[in-house]
Amino acid sequence: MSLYQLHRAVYDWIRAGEVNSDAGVDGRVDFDLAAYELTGEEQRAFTDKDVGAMYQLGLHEVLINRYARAAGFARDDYRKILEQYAKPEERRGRWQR
Amino acid sequence: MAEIVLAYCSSHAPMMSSARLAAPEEQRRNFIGALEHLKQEAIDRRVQACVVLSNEHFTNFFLENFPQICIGVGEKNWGPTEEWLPIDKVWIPGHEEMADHIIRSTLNAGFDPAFSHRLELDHGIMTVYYELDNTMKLPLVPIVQNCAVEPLMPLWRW
Repeated sequence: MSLYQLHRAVYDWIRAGEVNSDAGVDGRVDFDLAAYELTGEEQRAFTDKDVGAMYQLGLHEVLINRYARAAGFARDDYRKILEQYAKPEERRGRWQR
Repeated sequence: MAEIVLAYCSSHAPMMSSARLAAPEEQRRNFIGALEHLKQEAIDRRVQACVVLSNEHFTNFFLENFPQICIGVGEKNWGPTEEWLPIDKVWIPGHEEMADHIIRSTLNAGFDPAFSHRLELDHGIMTVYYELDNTMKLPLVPIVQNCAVEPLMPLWRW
Protein backbone atom coordinates (compact mmCIF):
# COMPACT_ATOMS: atom_id res chain seq x y z
CA MET A 1 0.00 0.00 0.00
CA SER A 2 3.03 2.27 0.21
CA LEU A 3 3.93 2.30 -3.45
CA TYR A 4 4.09 6.07 -3.39
CA GLN A 5 6.51 5.87 -0.48
CA LEU A 6 8.81 3.54 -2.41
CA HIS A 7 8.74 5.90 -5.37
CA ARG A 8 9.46 8.81 -3.05
CA ALA A 9 12.34 7.03 -1.32
CA VAL A 10 14.02 5.98 -4.57
CA TYR A 11 13.50 9.39 -6.11
CA ASP A 12 14.90 11.20 -3.08
CA TRP A 13 17.89 8.87 -2.98
CA ILE A 14 18.66 9.50 -6.65
CA ARG A 15 18.27 13.23 -6.25
CA ALA A 16 20.35 13.34 -3.09
CA GLY A 17 23.40 12.25 -5.02
CA GLU A 18 22.86 14.16 -8.21
CA VAL A 19 24.39 17.42 -9.20
CA ASN A 20 21.69 19.55 -7.69
CA SER A 21 22.04 23.23 -8.45
CA ASP A 22 25.79 22.97 -7.80
CA ALA A 23 25.36 22.21 -4.08
CA GLY A 24 28.21 19.74 -4.44
CA VAL A 25 27.16 17.50 -1.55
CA ASP A 26 26.43 13.77 -1.85
CA GLY A 27 23.30 13.38 0.25
CA ARG A 28 23.21 9.62 -0.31
CA VAL A 29 25.83 9.07 2.36
CA ASP A 30 23.44 9.83 5.22
CA PHE A 31 20.24 8.82 3.47
CA ASP A 32 17.61 7.95 6.08
CA LEU A 33 15.35 5.18 4.81
CA ALA A 34 13.44 5.17 8.11
CA ALA A 35 11.83 8.44 7.07
CA TYR A 36 9.67 6.50 4.59
CA GLU A 37 6.73 4.24 5.32
CA LEU A 38 7.89 1.15 3.48
CA THR A 39 6.76 -2.43 3.78
CA GLY A 40 9.36 -5.01 4.73
CA GLU A 41 9.54 -6.14 1.13
CA GLU A 42 10.11 -2.61 -0.11
CA GLN A 43 12.75 -1.97 2.52
CA ARG A 44 14.55 -5.14 1.51
CA ALA A 45 14.44 -4.26 -2.20
CA PHE A 46 15.85 -0.81 -1.47
CA THR A 47 18.55 -1.96 0.93
CA ASP A 48 19.64 -4.82 -1.33
CA LYS A 49 19.56 -2.61 -4.44
CA ASP A 50 17.32 -5.31 -5.92
CA VAL A 51 16.26 -3.79 -9.22
CA GLY A 52 14.22 -6.87 -10.17
CA ALA A 53 12.23 -6.68 -6.94
CA MET A 54 11.66 -2.97 -7.42
CA TYR A 55 10.22 -3.69 -10.84
CA GLN A 56 7.96 -6.40 -9.46
CA LEU A 57 6.81 -4.07 -6.70
CA GLY A 58 5.63 -1.61 -9.34
CA LEU A 59 8.33 1.04 -9.38
CA HIS A 60 8.01 3.18 -12.50
CA GLU A 61 10.31 2.10 -15.33
CA VAL A 62 11.78 5.57 -15.81
CA LEU A 63 12.69 5.69 -12.16
CA ILE A 64 14.19 2.19 -12.32
CA ASN A 65 16.33 3.29 -15.22
CA ARG A 66 17.59 6.32 -13.35
CA TYR A 67 18.06 4.36 -10.15
CA ALA A 68 20.06 1.60 -11.84
CA ARG A 69 22.43 4.08 -13.43
CA ALA A 70 22.80 6.06 -10.22
CA ALA A 71 23.43 2.89 -8.21
CA GLY A 72 26.27 1.92 -10.50
CA PHE A 73 24.69 -0.83 -12.57
CA ALA A 74 26.13 -1.14 -16.06
CA ARG A 75 23.41 -0.96 -18.71
CA ASP A 76 23.95 -4.54 -19.79
CA ASP A 77 23.79 -5.75 -16.20
CA TYR A 78 20.45 -4.31 -15.25
CA ARG A 79 19.08 -5.12 -18.67
CA LYS A 80 19.84 -8.77 -17.94
CA ILE A 81 18.13 -8.50 -14.56
CA LEU A 82 14.97 -7.09 -16.11
CA GLU A 83 14.91 -9.28 -19.23
CA GLN A 84 13.08 -12.03 -17.44
CA TYR A 85 10.10 -9.72 -16.89
CA ALA A 86 9.89 -8.55 -20.51
CA LYS A 87 6.63 -9.00 -22.35
CA PRO A 88 6.75 -9.62 -26.09
CA GLU A 89 5.54 -6.59 -28.05
CA GLU A 90 2.95 -7.66 -30.60
CA ARG A 91 1.91 -4.25 -31.84
CA ARG A 92 3.65 -2.78 -34.84
CA GLY A 93 4.28 0.85 -35.62
CA ARG A 94 2.93 2.38 -38.82
CA TRP A 95 6.44 2.42 -40.22
CA GLN A 96 6.77 -1.33 -39.64
CA ARG A 97 3.64 -2.36 -41.54
CA MET B 1 9.92 40.37 -32.72
CA ALA B 2 11.55 36.99 -33.00
CA GLU B 3 11.93 35.07 -36.23
CA ILE B 4 12.09 31.30 -36.43
CA VAL B 5 15.08 30.56 -38.65
CA LEU B 6 15.53 26.83 -38.00
CA ALA B 7 13.40 24.01 -36.63
CA TYR B 8 14.22 20.34 -36.40
CA CYS B 9 13.54 17.11 -34.54
CA SER B 10 16.26 14.88 -33.17
CA SER B 11 16.17 11.29 -32.03
CA HIS B 12 16.11 10.88 -28.26
CA ALA B 13 19.43 9.09 -27.90
CA PRO B 14 20.48 9.19 -24.22
CA MET B 15 23.84 7.54 -24.90
CA MET B 16 24.86 9.80 -27.77
CA SER B 17 27.29 11.66 -25.51
CA SER B 18 28.48 8.97 -23.13
CA ALA B 19 28.72 6.01 -25.51
CA ARG B 20 28.96 7.64 -28.89
CA LEU B 21 30.93 4.81 -30.43
CA ALA B 22 28.52 2.13 -29.25
CA ALA B 23 26.13 2.81 -32.13
CA PRO B 24 26.59 1.04 -35.47
CA GLU B 25 28.87 3.11 -37.68
CA GLU B 26 26.31 3.94 -40.36
CA GLN B 27 23.70 4.92 -37.81
CA ARG B 28 26.22 7.04 -35.93
CA ARG B 29 27.42 8.72 -39.11
CA ASN B 30 23.89 9.57 -40.20
CA PHE B 31 22.73 10.82 -36.82
CA ILE B 32 25.77 12.74 -35.67
CA GLY B 33 26.42 13.96 -39.19
CA ALA B 34 22.93 15.41 -39.35
CA LEU B 35 23.39 17.15 -36.02
CA GLU B 36 26.69 18.61 -37.17
CA HIS B 37 25.00 19.84 -40.33
CA LEU B 38 22.27 21.46 -38.24
CA LYS B 39 24.84 23.08 -35.99
CA GLN B 40 26.44 24.71 -39.01
CA GLU B 41 23.01 25.73 -40.29
CA ALA B 42 22.32 27.38 -36.95
CA ILE B 43 25.58 29.32 -37.21
CA ASP B 44 24.90 30.32 -40.81
CA ARG B 45 21.40 31.47 -39.94
CA ARG B 46 22.68 33.45 -36.98
CA VAL B 47 20.56 31.73 -34.36
CA GLN B 48 20.46 33.88 -31.23
CA ALA B 49 18.47 31.60 -28.95
CA CYS B 50 16.89 28.17 -29.05
CA VAL B 51 13.91 26.31 -27.68
CA VAL B 52 14.43 22.64 -26.87
CA LEU B 53 11.45 20.48 -26.09
CA SER B 54 12.03 17.12 -24.47
CA ASN B 55 10.50 14.74 -22.00
CA GLU B 56 10.54 14.78 -18.23
CA HIS B 57 12.29 11.88 -16.48
CA PHE B 58 11.39 12.61 -12.85
CA THR B 59 14.12 15.23 -12.94
CA ASN B 60 12.06 18.27 -12.04
CA PHE B 61 8.70 16.88 -11.09
CA PHE B 62 7.40 14.06 -9.00
CA LEU B 63 4.10 12.47 -8.13
CA GLU B 64 2.91 15.29 -5.89
CA ASN B 65 2.76 17.66 -8.84
CA PHE B 66 3.32 16.55 -12.41
CA PRO B 67 2.58 19.08 -15.12
CA GLN B 68 2.01 17.83 -18.65
CA ILE B 69 4.09 20.68 -20.05
CA CYS B 70 6.39 23.11 -18.31
CA ILE B 71 8.17 26.06 -19.90
CA GLY B 72 11.45 27.24 -18.44
CA VAL B 73 11.10 31.00 -18.12
CA GLY B 74 14.04 31.71 -15.82
CA GLU B 75 17.23 33.64 -16.47
CA LYS B 76 19.23 30.41 -16.21
CA ASN B 77 18.82 26.67 -15.73
CA TRP B 78 21.17 24.02 -14.46
CA GLY B 79 22.42 20.95 -16.24
CA PRO B 80 23.07 18.26 -16.91
CA THR B 81 21.90 16.56 -13.72
CA GLU B 82 23.21 13.09 -14.48
CA GLU B 83 26.59 12.08 -13.15
CA TRP B 84 27.17 9.78 -16.11
CA LEU B 85 26.85 12.42 -18.80
CA PRO B 86 30.27 13.63 -19.99
CA ILE B 87 29.09 17.20 -20.35
CA ASP B 88 30.25 19.96 -18.01
CA LYS B 89 27.71 20.90 -15.34
CA VAL B 90 26.98 24.56 -15.89
CA TRP B 91 24.34 27.22 -15.65
CA ILE B 92 22.73 27.47 -19.05
CA PRO B 93 21.51 30.96 -19.90
CA GLY B 94 17.79 31.27 -20.44
CA HIS B 95 16.00 33.76 -22.62
CA GLU B 96 13.42 35.39 -20.40
CA GLU B 97 11.88 37.58 -23.05
CA MET B 98 11.28 34.76 -25.51
CA ALA B 99 10.07 32.42 -22.77
CA ASP B 100 7.68 35.08 -21.53
CA HIS B 101 6.35 35.49 -25.06
CA ILE B 102 5.83 31.73 -25.41
CA ILE B 103 4.01 31.32 -22.10
CA ARG B 104 1.80 34.37 -22.58
CA SER B 105 0.96 33.39 -26.15
CA THR B 106 -0.02 29.89 -25.14
CA LEU B 107 -2.09 31.13 -22.20
CA ASN B 108 -3.88 33.63 -24.40
CA ALA B 109 -4.57 30.85 -26.88
CA GLY B 110 -6.44 28.85 -24.23
CA PHE B 111 -3.63 26.46 -23.43
CA ASP B 112 -2.31 26.35 -19.87
CA PRO B 113 1.24 25.05 -19.53
CA ALA B 114 3.09 25.23 -16.25
CA PHE B 115 6.17 27.39 -15.96
CA SER B 116 9.33 27.25 -13.94
CA HIS B 117 11.99 29.82 -13.11
CA ARG B 118 14.54 27.11 -12.36
CA LEU B 119 14.64 23.83 -14.24
CA GLU B 120 17.25 21.16 -14.00
CA LEU B 121 18.10 19.86 -17.42
CA ASP B 122 18.79 16.18 -17.97
CA HIS B 123 20.04 14.23 -20.97
CA GLY B 124 16.78 14.74 -22.87
CA ILE B 125 17.55 18.40 -23.41
CA MET B 126 21.27 18.57 -22.70
CA THR B 127 22.50 16.07 -25.29
CA VAL B 128 20.78 17.82 -28.17
CA TYR B 129 21.54 21.30 -26.86
CA TYR B 130 25.21 20.40 -26.43
CA GLU B 131 25.43 19.20 -30.03
CA LEU B 132 24.00 22.54 -31.11
CA ASP B 133 26.40 24.60 -29.00
CA ASN B 134 29.38 22.95 -27.33
CA THR B 135 30.09 26.15 -25.41
CA MET B 136 26.61 26.03 -23.83
CA LYS B 137 26.29 29.79 -24.04
CA LEU B 138 23.45 29.93 -26.53
CA PRO B 139 20.37 31.13 -24.62
CA LEU B 140 17.95 28.26 -24.17
CA VAL B 141 14.26 28.09 -23.39
CA PRO B 142 13.68 24.53 -22.21
CA ILE B 143 10.24 22.96 -22.40
CA VAL B 144 9.65 19.64 -20.68
CA GLN B 145 6.67 17.45 -21.36
CA ASN B 146 5.27 14.43 -19.61
CA CYS B 147 5.78 11.40 -21.83
CA ALA B 148 5.96 8.67 -19.22
CA VAL B 149 3.65 9.07 -16.26
CA GLU B 150 0.00 8.20 -16.82
CA PRO B 151 -2.33 9.84 -17.54
CA LEU B 152 -0.71 11.50 -20.54
CA MET B 153 -1.85 14.41 -22.61
CA PRO B 154 -3.55 13.16 -25.80
CA LEU B 155 -1.50 13.43 -28.97
CA TRP B 156 -3.97 15.74 -30.66
CA ARG B 157 -3.07 18.45 -28.17
CA TRP B 158 0.26 18.69 -29.93
